[in-house]
Amino acid sequence: MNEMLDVFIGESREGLETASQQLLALQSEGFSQERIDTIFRDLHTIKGSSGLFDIVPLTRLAHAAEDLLDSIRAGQTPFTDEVGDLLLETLDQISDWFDDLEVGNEDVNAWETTSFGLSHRVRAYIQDETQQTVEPTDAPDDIAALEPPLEAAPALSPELLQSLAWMPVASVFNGLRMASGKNLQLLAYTPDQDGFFRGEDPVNVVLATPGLVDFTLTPKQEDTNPDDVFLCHLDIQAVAANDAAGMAAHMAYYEGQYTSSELHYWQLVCHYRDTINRLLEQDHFQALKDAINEGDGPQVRSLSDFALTTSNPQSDEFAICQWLLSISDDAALLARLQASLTPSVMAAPEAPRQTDISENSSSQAAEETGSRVLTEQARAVLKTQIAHLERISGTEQEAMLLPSVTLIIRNILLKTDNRVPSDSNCAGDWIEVCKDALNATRSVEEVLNEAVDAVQVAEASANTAPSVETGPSSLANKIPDAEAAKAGERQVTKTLKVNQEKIDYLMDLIGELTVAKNSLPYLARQAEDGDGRKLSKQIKSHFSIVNRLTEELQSAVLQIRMVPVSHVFQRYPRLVRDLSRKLNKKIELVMQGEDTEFDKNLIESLSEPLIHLLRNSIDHGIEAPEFRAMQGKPETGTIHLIATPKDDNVIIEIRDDGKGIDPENIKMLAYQKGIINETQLDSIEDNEALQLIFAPGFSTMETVSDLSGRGVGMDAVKTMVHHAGGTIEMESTVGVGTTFKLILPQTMSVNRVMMFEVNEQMFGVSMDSVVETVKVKASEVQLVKNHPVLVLREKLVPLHCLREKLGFIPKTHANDEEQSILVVSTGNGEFGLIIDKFHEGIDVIQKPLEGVMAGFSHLSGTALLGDGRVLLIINAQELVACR
Amino acid sequence: MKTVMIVDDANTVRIYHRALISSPSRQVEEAENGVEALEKAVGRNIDLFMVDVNMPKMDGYRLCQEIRRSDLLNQVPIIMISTEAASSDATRAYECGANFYMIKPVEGNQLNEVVSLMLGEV
Repeated sequence: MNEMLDVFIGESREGLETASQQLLALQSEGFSQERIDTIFRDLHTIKGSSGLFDIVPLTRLAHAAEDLLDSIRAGQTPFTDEVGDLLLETLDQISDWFDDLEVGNEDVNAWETTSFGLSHRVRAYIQDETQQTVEPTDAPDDIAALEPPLEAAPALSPELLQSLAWMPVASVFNGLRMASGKNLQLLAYTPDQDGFFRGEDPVNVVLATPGLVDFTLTPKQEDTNPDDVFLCHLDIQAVAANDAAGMAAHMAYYEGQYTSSELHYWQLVCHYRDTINRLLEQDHFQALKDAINEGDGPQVRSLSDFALTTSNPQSDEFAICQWLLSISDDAALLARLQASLTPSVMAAPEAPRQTDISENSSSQAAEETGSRVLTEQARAVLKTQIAHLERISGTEQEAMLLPSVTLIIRNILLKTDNRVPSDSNCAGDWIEVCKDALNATRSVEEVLNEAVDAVQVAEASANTAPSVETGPSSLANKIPDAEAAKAGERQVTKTLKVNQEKIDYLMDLIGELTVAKNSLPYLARQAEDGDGRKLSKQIKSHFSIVNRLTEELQSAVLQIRMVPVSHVFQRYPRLVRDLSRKLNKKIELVMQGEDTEFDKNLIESLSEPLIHLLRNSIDHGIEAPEFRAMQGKPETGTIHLIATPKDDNVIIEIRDDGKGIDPENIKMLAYQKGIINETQLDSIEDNEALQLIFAPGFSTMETVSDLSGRGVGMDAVKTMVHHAGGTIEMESTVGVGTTFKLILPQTMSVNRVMMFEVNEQMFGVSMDSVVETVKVKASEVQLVKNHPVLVLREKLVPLHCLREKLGFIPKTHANDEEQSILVVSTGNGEFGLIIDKFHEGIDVIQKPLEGVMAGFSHLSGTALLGDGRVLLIINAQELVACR
Repeated sequence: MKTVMIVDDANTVRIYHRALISSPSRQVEEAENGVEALEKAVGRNIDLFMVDVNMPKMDGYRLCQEIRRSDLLNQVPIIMISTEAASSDATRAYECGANFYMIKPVEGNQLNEVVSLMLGEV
């Protein structure tokens, strides 16, 4: 079942996403019937599926939203911005609940309040005729009990019904009578163990419950001190004819010790349907049953009144009749009762009844003995088919519907009595069987006759006109317009769907590879002949082919994981809109390059940091409209969100035209927070100062604001980006704006690394960070503030000795000996690594460190070399930072 | 072997219904909407349709009508399973040619029995 919940959540999230996009589009581009339809369908699907999981609050809310949309669709309720906002809020709420469900928080009852509140607000917008009937009733419970169709009522969960098992039938109906059409409350009260010491009297509390119907005491299920006679060892359950508010008021002093749940009036009736039916099946209640079936209120009244005088006041019958008496004035309730008592098609979905097991076994037994008992369901199906026959007989629909109806009737009759011959010649038998089985009234009997005749006619026509093979044409006609419909369908990339082209391309490559492989035996023959140089040349040319193929294969396989960044970007217009409204700022989000493709995993890991950066820009970057106007900027601020593919990287840029970041402020703050010391404060350049915002423990806002200050600083953003294998850069000009640049590898898995040797061991460093390799004499290295530096094209490059950093014994260099220096660039600028020897660059599949090694931040991962050795890949930036 | 086709746009519901009715003697086909259902039904022996109402492209009502109009599929029973409990919806379903109308979420025993009845399983 859990797996199904996952499917449901995944599917519904997609629906929520499209729905909110459509809503945004509606708000910005104006009303469109098509969009409303899409949103309606999405919510409808969510509502429908949620019914499978017993998530009552969710179903209720989705249903309310669906109704509102339906009314908009029908043109009864106008679509305004307010309505849009409310619907968006609804979608958010549902999405929040999904979050909860995903982490395993299934305390659905806790959602009730939110659900009720929001559904109410949603329903308040619905303008149609139902509202007028709602208005006169003042109690909200009335609406819940009477107004919406039956299935709108929260289904009573099996557990809830189970927990009612203690209650005698008589009490139930007394309760129903007392509630007079309103809902009942089920109170589960677990008094604190030491409540007696505070003078609490749990039993009296329950007895005093307004509208109390019945209650029960049970020993506490989890009793820690069962022997201590001074403690309270009771669980109390009570049912009261009261509303939730009344219950809360009564139990106000015992907050936390009780839960109160709604027992839906009609659901309760349905639950005890069998009991009522059993009562009415009795001979002397036949008249009452007829009266109910005819919806004859006064008759029901007098008959049940009469029954009361003759029954034992303690009996179930008495209670049921009393209840019937109480509802006999209410025509709507009576009609409803009648509908749910007759096993009709419209029977509401209900929780499994306790009697189910016995029913099933009896029907099974019946089948085994070949007796003629039709199950309730079979009757229902059969009656529906008869209704069909009644309706279609003599109309043009007859020809269309007859075959399936007769098929079903035959199937059912055959099933219930295996003595029924399968050919229609014995129609007489059939009627007998049906009569017996259905316990039919006269009219049904007639209809059945008709049905059997119809069967004969159908069979006869089937026999006389064999093989009218015109079938395919009519179907074939439908298909073209089906395809046309398909073409207009919106494009949603689903989680596991891969573009066919990508797979085809992969197939092509594999074909080529097979061909390339075939030339190997040829090369082997050449080797036997033995012209070494010639052979070597051939092998090399062959290698280049195979090399190209494997490279293409690699990228093709990686392509499969690529999805457009719009997957993540599409959530942002909403974010920007909401935040800017909240802050009373005018902000326009301009997105570019949404179709840039990007590794799916990477994209998902980026969503969070991007949201944070956007929040920062909105909250701290863009100024208030008045302020912008004063500075001569357009009132509406602009945030650009741009994705550009570059080589094997994707650059994501977030650029705002806000107030920028003042390096002086940063410097002072960093100094105050002890991130830099006094000497650094003097020497640090503006550009470097700006990078300090990425330092751990740095946040420019003094007070944590609602939006951006959620305990995630820029250092967290940086870490997340680094985790994804990328780097982050920032530029800012005071008064002009700030730009964040995320440079990310297009895919996580394949990296090009530069290999080098230190202390006769191989290491690698990501090729992206390598700026150049230089060889300099030891004498050219200078010391600045006791730190070795190299002057490279008039730039100072600080040097770090890798031997030292990696814990090897440092080598002393003679003055004229050449040192190999690898110049790398990181977010903190360029610096040189002194190594022993350069090697070539290779493509590797980098694997993250595991186990004990996982804690080493200065290593970013490992890779396997062609000869089986393990290559450690260092993270230059971290390595330099650790001392 | 009888073949049942479940037509519903919600994957969750398809999985659920499939789980409810699956049995060694039944084969279950799935379709996401009316169009797909018709396409898949061509050249197959479908013994029963379980149809949702609200679906993109072609909804359940139209699917029923199409099935009834088709000479090939016209004898196949249709169970319509919808979230709508209003009687007008049921009436409409019957008018469009559904043989039986049930309300979501359906109860396992009930659905199984109806399916079994429609398929004429002994």
